[in-house]
Amino acid sequence: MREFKKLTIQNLTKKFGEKEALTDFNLTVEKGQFVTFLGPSGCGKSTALNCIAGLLPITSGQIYINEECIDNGIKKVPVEKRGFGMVFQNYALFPHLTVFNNVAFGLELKRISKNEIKEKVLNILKMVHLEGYENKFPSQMSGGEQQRVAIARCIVLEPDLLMLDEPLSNLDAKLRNDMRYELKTLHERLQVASIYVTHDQQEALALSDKIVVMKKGYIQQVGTPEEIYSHPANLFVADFMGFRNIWEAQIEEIDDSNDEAKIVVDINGHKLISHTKFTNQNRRLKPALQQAFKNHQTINTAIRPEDFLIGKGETNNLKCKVGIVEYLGQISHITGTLNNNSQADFRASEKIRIGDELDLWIPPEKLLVFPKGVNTYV
Amino acid sequence: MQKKLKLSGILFFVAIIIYLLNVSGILFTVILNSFSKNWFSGLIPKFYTFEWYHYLATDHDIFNLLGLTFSVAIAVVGISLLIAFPAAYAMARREFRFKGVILSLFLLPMIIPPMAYGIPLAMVMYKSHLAMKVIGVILVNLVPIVPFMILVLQPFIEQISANLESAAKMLGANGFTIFRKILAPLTLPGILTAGILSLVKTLSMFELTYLVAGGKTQTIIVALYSDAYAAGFRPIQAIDAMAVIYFLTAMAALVVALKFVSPTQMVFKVK
Amino acid sequence: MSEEKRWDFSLFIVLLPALLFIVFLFIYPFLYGLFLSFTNEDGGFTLANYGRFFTDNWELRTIGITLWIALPATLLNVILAIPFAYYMRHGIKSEKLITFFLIIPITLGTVLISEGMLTYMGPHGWLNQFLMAIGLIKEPFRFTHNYLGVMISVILQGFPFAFLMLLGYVSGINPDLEKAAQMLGASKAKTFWKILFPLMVPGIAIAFCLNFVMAFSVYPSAVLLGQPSGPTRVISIAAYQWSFEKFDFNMGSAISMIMAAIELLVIILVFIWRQRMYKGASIVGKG
Repeated sequence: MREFKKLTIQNLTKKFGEKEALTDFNLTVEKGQFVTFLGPSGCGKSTALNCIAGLLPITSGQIYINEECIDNGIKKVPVEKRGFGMVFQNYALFPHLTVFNNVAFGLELKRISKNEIKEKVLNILKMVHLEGYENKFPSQMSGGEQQRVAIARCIVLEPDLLMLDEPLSNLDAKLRNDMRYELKTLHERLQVASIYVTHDQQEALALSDKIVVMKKGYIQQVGTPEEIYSHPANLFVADFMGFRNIWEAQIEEIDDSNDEAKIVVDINGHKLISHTKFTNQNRRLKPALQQAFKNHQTINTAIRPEDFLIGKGETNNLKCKVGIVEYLGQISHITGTLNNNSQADFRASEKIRIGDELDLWIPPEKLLVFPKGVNTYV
Repeated sequence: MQKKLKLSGILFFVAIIIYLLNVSGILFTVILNSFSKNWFSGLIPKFYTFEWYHYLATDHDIFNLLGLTFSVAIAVVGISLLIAFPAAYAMARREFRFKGVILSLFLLPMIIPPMAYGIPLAMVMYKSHLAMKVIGVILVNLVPIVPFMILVLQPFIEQISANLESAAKMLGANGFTIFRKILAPLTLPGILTAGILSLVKTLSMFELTYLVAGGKTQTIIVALYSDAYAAGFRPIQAIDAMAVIYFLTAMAALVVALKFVSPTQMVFKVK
Repeated sequence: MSEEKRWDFSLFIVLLPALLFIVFLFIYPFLYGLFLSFTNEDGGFTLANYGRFFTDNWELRTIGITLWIALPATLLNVILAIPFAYYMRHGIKSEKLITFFLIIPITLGTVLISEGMLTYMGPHGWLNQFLMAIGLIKEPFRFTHNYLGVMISVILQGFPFAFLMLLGYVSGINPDLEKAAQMLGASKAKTFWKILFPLMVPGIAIAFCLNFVMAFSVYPSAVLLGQPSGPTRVISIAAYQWSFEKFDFNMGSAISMIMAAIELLVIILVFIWRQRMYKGASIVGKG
């Protein structure tokens, strides 16, 4: 029995007929890592998962466990021999089997004694807090309980790689948070390599060691949650990570050293300054921005609503007339018109009324700039 | 793994081809025979003729037969719809006492062989002087069709959110308006499905029609059987010619039906 | 009992046409038949009709003959339909065309199938000529005017229905269940036997029952393709002869009632089998 060290995917491409659902996908998942595929529906994240599982034949590329090739489009190790586990979005519990038999299903296919099976199943049900549910049928359980059975059914086999395909999307908001916490705890405890598919950036940030942001079959960015959150590689990732205030701008001036740049932009006649840090994550932005500067191309800004500060600052000062105030409890979400006629989305904790005139400013390092319409692939 | 898949594919297509060869063998012998002068031996007939179709038109009054068959079928479909739609509506929308009992009652005609209830039914028809008449033929054919329609229509009605009806009520619509403006247009696909499938079923319903129809009120399938049964009374090629005409009508109905419904809807869905 | 479950005037009105229909065209005739079967010509109560049926071997054997045609034909149809439905469950290339081919016999009708089989499978027919040409048989094989002929015809007519029912049923099973079984280490065969087949059981049960209804009331094929006065004198022929040739409606009704009873018995047996195979069934749906 080989020991699982890492899963490597090289140049994986999947076509449905003529249509490319996944293009040139490269990734390494190491033992114990929690990797999330994040993107809107149709971005190829589930396709990637199904290809890795062996449920979909791949068009080209290779998949390796350690150094051993398990799929290259011609020769493939069948699904049931890969030693992976998958939790499905709709749980896919066998409706004609009890909870016990659902969980025991995979064990019974191996040569394991009845007593051992029983012991393992009861243990794992305890771990997912489902003691006493052995004889229930899936249809007698709530969505959250069914999800636990689905997870138990996978992890009881101690898979090398656990795959979760939008496992929380059928649960209501409160349950979703509870289950997210439980998944995290379970992962900390089992340290099994996991691939998690979701369209929810909060889930991705909360759970992952590594996030793969995808769009239309292409990887947009791979990085830790912090890297992706603070240094989005392009406008799409920024938008997905909660950046708003996408304004059109012209670059007035670039003052760059190696890994940092001071960029002055002009938005409807208003000059703002951005301090952009270039890391491994967004290093391709730099030549693209220089290009845009040289050719006088329009670029986009992106600022998180929570990054605006109220009052006067040392730079990037703006005036805003408040249009709409949405009360959210601790804070309010405000939409207003700036003195350069741009719309601004920001947050405030003090009491603000419609029609108020406010002073706002943006710390230069919170103002991100991106070449327009360019997807920078990592 | 790859090889196994291919093997099952080959087996599948070989099975289909054997099946198809035999079915078309049966079909083409009948078609060829209906155009042949005399065909006792040899691979194919030696002489061809249209005379059996001409014979059908003149001696057998095939047009009348077809006209009657379709009138009966259309009447059965129409009346069944009037009976089945309200019942399907009640079954889809309401919970009530004895619902299970009533549903099983509606299902009974589908699980009891038509010959078994057809004989007492025919006796009742003879007793009430409805047998041998078109009305009698229509009435007995309702028995398997109405339950079938209820089963086909029910899921179509269940699909339509009850909120739509509530909304229409809030906007001031009365029962009939709701039916005309909301239910009927939204269930139209279901009504068409049920109607066309029932038409196909009625065209091919043999036993019940056979038990109550008289010489002048039989549908084409019964006429066909009577001719075939009384072997020698009519030339075998003429019988085959009529069988071909029946096949063409049934095929036309099936093709139309398949335009509207997927094949698996032709049989009723199991829950 | 909740308010919701009570009958009210509007419910009564929408159900009325269907209730009238079922009472007058089904229940009343059926009860009338039941009544006739227990009476003699003068209207007095008697068990003689049933007595005559069960003591006269010529009549009694029709049950065996019919079951001997209907049970194997139905079983074969369902068993043949399972792999076809299984193979096509996720859709295949030119599925519409193949489905269309498979259901052609629906349009042929009993008489065309019978007439066609008499010629096609007759001593000089194409089938025998072919089988002799490839050396499989030396003399023409007798396919028609016997038990085999009726059987083939019943299978041809029943197969499309069995196939369509099972296809509809199988394609309704969540495809993720199959994937899940594979991910848990089950081979294709194991996935079929442990997951798909048990889930198909309710569909198989219904397909069997409805197919059996058709096969059990076989009439035209038995007359045209078999030996209706002997080995293929099925129970429908007996019922018809007593009613409309001998005009003994009491005896005819008795045979009809026996037919219905046997049919119901078979259905009950099938559902007991289903219950045993698929324990989750009674619970699924309550959720």
